[in-house]
Amino acid sequence: MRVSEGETREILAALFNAYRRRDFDGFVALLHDDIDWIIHGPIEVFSFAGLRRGRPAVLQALAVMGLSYSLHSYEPDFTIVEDDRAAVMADISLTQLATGRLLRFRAANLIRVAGGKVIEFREFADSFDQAEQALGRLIEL
Amino acid sequence: MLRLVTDTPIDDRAAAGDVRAVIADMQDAYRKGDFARIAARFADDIDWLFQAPSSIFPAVGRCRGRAAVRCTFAALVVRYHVESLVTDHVIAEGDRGAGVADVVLVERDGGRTIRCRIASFFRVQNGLLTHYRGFTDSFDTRERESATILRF
Repeated sequence: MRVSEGETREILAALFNAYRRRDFDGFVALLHDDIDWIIHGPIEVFSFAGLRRGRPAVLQALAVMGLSYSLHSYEPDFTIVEDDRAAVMADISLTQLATGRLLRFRAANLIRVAGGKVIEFREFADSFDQAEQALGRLIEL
Repeated sequence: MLRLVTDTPIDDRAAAGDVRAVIADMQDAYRKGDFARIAARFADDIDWLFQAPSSIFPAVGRCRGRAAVRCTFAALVVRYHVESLVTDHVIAEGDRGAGVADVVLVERDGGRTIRCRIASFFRVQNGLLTHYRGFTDSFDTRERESATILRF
């Protein structure tokens, strides 16, 4: 069944509002059982990165993320929606719990919805810079 | 082959400003190494930013204006040959578009192959690209480019 742009916008807004409010249950409720989720980045530095398939796997990744980082801010400033797909650019800042260090980066999120929930999620960012921020030093080249 | 002169007529829909057609035209030119055709799509005041460390990659960082973007882009195409560019899906709304592509670059000197996935965001006015933002897993790309596992 075709998904309208209005429905996609509603799901997207609910997802990001839940994320911003740190409403874990609200966020998870918007994830499809069969979600295909990738945060592109080095799993040696960000153990929650990489491919996760299915809601339990995504929940596990989010739990791991929550042990190391807390969201400081999520500010989307570019959103386009077409049918069941959306693309967003946002400025994100996370606090690294172990050090109190603030990681700031710009991210791209590409999302597809089905059945009123998010079924595909991709996140891209300058992962080299993210890794250096997380490590608190330059990476030896 | 790096082409500095284009012989491909500009797609009518792209010329009319259809963002999806402009993206398709640029990506087709990119696949064919038709640098002149890509550069013809840059608006005078184009704002270009590829999110990756400019100290270790060519054609990244921010540059503004057609001449600056041409120089930056030339650094990329001089260094790499585009083996393939396959776009998953393009989302378009108004004058803006976005898409994710699997790109395979081959180093002209040395022949090293670099595979990366690139998320791109575009803004088009009057058939010309006015804004570009690119994202890739730069850590992974750096490892592939240097053929080494980064130590930290």
